Amino acid sequence: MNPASTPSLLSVAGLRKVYTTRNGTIKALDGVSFDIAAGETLALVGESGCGKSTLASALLGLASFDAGTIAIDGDAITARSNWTKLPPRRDVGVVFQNPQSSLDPKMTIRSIVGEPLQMVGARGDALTRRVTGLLSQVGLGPEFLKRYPHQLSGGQQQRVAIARALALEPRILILDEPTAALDVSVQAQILKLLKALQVRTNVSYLFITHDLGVVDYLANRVAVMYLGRIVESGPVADVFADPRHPYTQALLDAVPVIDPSRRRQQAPLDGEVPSPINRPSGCSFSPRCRWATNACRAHDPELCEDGGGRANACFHPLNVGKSA
Amino acid sequence: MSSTVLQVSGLGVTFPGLFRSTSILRGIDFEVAAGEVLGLVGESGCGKSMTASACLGLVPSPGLVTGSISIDGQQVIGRPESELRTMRGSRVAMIFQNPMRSMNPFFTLGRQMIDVICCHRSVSRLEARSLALSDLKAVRIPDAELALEKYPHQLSGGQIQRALIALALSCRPRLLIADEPTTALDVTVQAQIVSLIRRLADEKGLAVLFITHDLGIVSQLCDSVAVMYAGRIVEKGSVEAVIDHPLHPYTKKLLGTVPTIGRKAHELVSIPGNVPDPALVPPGCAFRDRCDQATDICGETQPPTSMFEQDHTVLCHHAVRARQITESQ
Repeated sequence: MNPASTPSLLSVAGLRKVYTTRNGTIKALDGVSFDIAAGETLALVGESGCGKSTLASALLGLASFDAGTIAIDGDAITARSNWTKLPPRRDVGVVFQNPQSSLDPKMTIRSIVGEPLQMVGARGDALTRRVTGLLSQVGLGPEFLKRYPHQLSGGQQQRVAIARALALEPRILILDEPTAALDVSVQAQILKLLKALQVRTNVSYLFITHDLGVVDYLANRVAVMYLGRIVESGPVADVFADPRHPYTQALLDAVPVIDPSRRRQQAPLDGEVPSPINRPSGCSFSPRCRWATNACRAHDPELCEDGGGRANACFHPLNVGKSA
Repeated sequence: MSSTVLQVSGLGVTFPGLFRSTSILRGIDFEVAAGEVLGLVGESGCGKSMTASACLGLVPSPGLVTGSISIDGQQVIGRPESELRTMRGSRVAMIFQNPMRSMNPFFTLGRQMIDVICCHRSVSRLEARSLALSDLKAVRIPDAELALEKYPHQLSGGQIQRALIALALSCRPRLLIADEPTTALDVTVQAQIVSLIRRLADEKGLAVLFITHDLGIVSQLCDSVAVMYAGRIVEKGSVEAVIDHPLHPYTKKLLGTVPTIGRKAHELVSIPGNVPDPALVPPGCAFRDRCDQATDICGETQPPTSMFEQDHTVLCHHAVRARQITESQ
């Protein structure tokens, strides 16, 4: 999907979030911009501490941000415009990583899924009918209405969490590692369900994950984050087949592939993600990058358009000559 | 010819209950040779971690352990606790899933390492310190001298996991049990830890029992693999044999459920249903209800072990037929 041809549903521009601590300031988000069109899935990939979850909280209005705008279907909110003005929350649903901690153990499934509906005035039989409908959308029968979360398996709990997120018919669903706590066989069921739901309801997904295999299965476009910035973005197939940023390449190399013949190839990437408190000067990936030059250590590369809906933030992008 | 370090045969763990007892492990057989990395794969609740606990003699009471576990020729089951204590750490070492929870946050890394080394070897604290230092260097911790003085919260998850591997290896064990050591780590750090474990097995002849649910890691790291389902090993063999030519329907499906880069999206398989409750495992084949090749015999009798070349064993009634189909293709 080309972002230029389809109007974007969610548009984030120049989002910044700084946390001030005793030891210094942490730039959790350092100018993040992206768009998601209706019915599209954008995957956000990166290692822990790169700002993925801060971004999700900002979009949900759970955290304030310091600069930039978040616009949902043209309805924009700007940082500090007004503390009380949150993003249009009805349009954004969320599914968290661990269903055991995101479902209230004292509530029945009916009240968990029905709670958002009560906010808009649904009561009694109408509420039960709607909840039954939502549960059937995620593949659960009406016998689950009176059960409690502990009576459900992890996969069923995650289905309930998805049903709750869909209750108010949001146009964007933020999925924060929804399958990381599940077994692979259950993960496959949930991924298939998410794909089927998107076809049926045309909801957009912002899929936060660190599993690149899942990205390839579910997403249309991918954005790779490193230390609060997007370092590469573009259509999934293009980015994975021909990564431009060395960090994307390193991430792809680190994914264990099920293929015994490809065993023990090269030494993995050295070092770890630096602390956001003492961010390296210049390109933040330069200390770990084997192609880094003096220019990388001195200046900060900007995210530049690269043609074909792709963009990268690197002075020495890989494989450019090959595809041109 | 490599020597067998860990030999497990007919291992069963049962927790007696008021009305019925729960069998977590129902007859496990495998062995790990020196320098070999065996991957133990399966979904949650299949008994992977219980197998590891049993190897260390750590099955919580009132669990009943039957069968035989021998480490370096010494029987673990039935051995008195005092002898097990000397065995743990010196002969067998274990690293756990969450590195942050395996260290005491109140003491420096150096203090904790020196304590362990002094406990198992008759050396002075000063000698222990230099041993700890060389162990940390062996796992390539940057600034090992400095790291000894640090508290666990000052180190990153990957560094702590490296330090724990160093600590586990400080008393020169013959067997390392790793229970999902990379699950809590990022992919780039995971790749570093995996290559470190491989190097230790190759260079020091360490036997490794690597417990994981990630078939990708197994195929990158292990020499052989055992797939567990509901307390039994359903398929076992060399990585090449099991991953490239799986014969048990569960292994086949498990391989199909993993989303892989570059594979067509519609190929993703999901296994219907859930892992059976260990207290209510059906008679016959435990995978029968989720299997699309199940026939009447699967519900009646426990499948026999079918042996194929290179010690590739499969626990399925239809394994021989599956093998013929694979060969004819």
